[in-house]
Amino acid sequence: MFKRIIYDHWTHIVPILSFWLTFGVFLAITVRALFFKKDFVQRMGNLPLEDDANDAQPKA
Amino acid sequence: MGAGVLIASQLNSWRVNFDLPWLTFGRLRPLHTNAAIFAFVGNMMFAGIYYSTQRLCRCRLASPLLTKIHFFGWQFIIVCAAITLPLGYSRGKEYAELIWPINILVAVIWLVFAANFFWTLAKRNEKSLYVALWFYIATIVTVTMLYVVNHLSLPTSLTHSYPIFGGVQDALVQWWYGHNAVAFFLTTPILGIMYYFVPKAANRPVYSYRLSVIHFWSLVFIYIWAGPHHLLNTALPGWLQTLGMLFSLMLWAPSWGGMLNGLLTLRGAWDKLRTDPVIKFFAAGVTFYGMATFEGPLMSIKSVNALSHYSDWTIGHVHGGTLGWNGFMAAGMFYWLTPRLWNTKLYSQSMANMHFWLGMVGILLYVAAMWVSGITQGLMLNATAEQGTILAYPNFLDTLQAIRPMMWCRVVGGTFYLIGFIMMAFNLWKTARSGSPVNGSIEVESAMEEMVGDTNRFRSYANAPVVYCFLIIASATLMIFGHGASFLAGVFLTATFTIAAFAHFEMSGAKWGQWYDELLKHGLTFTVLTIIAAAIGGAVQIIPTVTMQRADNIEGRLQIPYTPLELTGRDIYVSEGCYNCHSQMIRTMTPDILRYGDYSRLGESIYDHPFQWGSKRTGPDLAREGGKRSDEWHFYHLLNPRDISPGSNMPNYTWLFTKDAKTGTLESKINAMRMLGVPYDIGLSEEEIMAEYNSQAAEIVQRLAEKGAYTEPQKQIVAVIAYLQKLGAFEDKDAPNENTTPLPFEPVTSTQP
Repeated sequence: MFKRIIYDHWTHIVPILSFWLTFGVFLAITVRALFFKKDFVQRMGNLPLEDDANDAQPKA
Repeated sequence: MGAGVLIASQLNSWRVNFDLPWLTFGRLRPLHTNAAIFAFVGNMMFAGIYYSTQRLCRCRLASPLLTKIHFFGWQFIIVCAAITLPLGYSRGKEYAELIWPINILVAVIWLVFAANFFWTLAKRNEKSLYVALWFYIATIVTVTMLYVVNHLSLPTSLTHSYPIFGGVQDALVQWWYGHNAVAFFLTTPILGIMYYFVPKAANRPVYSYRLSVIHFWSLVFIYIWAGPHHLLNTALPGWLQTLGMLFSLMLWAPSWGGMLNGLLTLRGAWDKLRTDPVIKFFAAGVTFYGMATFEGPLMSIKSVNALSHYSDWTIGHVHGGTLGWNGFMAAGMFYWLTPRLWNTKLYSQSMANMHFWLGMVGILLYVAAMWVSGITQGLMLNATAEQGTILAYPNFLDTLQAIRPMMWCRVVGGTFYLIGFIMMAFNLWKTARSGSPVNGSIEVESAMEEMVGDTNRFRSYANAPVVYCFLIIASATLMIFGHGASFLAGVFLTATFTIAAFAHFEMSGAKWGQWYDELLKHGLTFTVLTIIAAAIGGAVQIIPTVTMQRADNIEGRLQIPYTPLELTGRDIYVSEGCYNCHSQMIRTMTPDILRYGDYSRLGESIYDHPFQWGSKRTGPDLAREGGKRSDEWHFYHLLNPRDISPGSNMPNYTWLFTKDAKTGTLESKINAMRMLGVPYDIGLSEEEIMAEYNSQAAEIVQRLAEKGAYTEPQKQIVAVIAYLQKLGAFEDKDAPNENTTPLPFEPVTSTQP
């Protein structure tokens, strides 16, 4: 089953498959990220800054 | 770092090993790499993950007991490594040298860490998972997968085992692991730490949360495919080399997306660069991440790799990443963290600033020296004359002498960097002494109640996008691998499901996005999908290579199995870490063929457990060493390499002449080899094995004695000479008459698949 892809056609298949596979993943996740709601993005981005008080600044 | 500086000194002056077996380069280099990865970055990573996870989940760690077991267990592993590696107990695979009982301990302690982490996620009071937590999840699941697969071994004694994969399979699995140790141990957890601590230090949110989402998924998906770029121009099948190169190139995009996201988070905080050492370390660390992830894909281009591979350029590249990215991120994190953990201020800002500049100058000296060294030696080794028919520098040692000044620069740079970290340790210790540990708790508002009824774990899997993705992947697989009717069915089904998915999307509108949002609320679902994203690359590359019948894939040459004496010699070779300086792989390049002989075929190392293709040539390649030189040449060369090769930086291996070879477990070793598919005669008893061993050893001792070199048959040197003289022996399956000796250089008559 694997012989054909490994020995015969790899030069044609591998580069194209690699590109489209990666492009597909990039595209899907980029589209999803662009459609995030603004308030959701802001809330998530600020999560590390909402820690407890002793994190804010050490005493001088 | 101390071990690193020591072995860098040994490359310049072999005497720095003091003629002690446990201080040689071959034994200490594994200690250096394992300590840098698992002790230095490992401990830093655990500290950062434990601190940030509690705060991002708004809850305490699930189990203080598991945390203690994790901490003490991990330190115990480090102590075990520091004892066993210098003693020569090694599996012979890079960054995976630890012996099998320690491997099991690592796996257990890692699972303790994973259990504690996921338990904490389960009891969190913040419903959404911040992107740093995603990177931690990817780290935990992927390292588990990589570590287990690459450490599958067949034990022959309490301290020795053979990897279950051999030859090309072992090479592929090893570099799938080795590359992704960089990806998922040295990169993804540190990226999580970057996404948490850089916003804290700059006191502003991450530049783009959207970009961090793209960064995560694309990085996790692409990274796992890139392992074969460590095996370019070798006997590895061409399709795998192409995959490795292409995915490495495509890694540029997510890596630089992440780097820019980190740097731009510091927007508006650049003025702090002048005064705040934390920001200095973070800014430089993220910049080094950008540099290393630019250089890595560059070196993965096959033609660039022909120059850079096996040279110091690679060493410069990994140190740019480890010292610059990991080391500086660790320093920034600890300078930020320590005063807060002890509720005090940093003992000395100026000392931290001095650390920064010492470290920066150290890295630049080191990395620049290694670039120059690698390119110089690479060019010299590849240079030809007379229209490409002869080598311009046929003597390997000429190329070594040319880079000696650069190797001294490397020692100076490394020493600067080490001094900086010693200053940091002192500074942090004084800081901790000036305060008292913070031990308090705060009330947090739980947001988890909103989740009840809001989400459904089953729906996270069984919804339209997941079902369509599964159907399209399955039918596309049928199309790619099928023949005749199944191929046509695959084409038809792929087209049908794709069209149906688009039609469904048009009808359901924006609802599809809800699926992704639900993921962020289900740690388990998210983890399963991360495993799938990370496993696809490894599966596509490894499964065909491992499942193919080995006998069908030897390129006309079949390795002749080692005799008991040769196998014993090989185990000594592995134990001494010779693979750290000598490769056993003649690449498909004219200069390699001119220097070492006809290029290596897959079948020539098919029975090598572990494979010994190597990753660096501090000395010449040994793939066809067998029969090239006399027994007494090896005898005197191993006694004092400089007697034979003036200017060599190889250690004296005097203990090989005084220690007896271990033969007590030979029967169990041969049985293990047989179980792994090496065709030894069935029913070889211990007496028969030892008779063959003694007979071959006596022949070698006799030949040596005739030349005035005296030793005894049971000494290690005899076994090592037997092994070295076997290297490159294969059966020529294409020849009309079977040839059982290494072939001399011959013109290339066939192309490699």
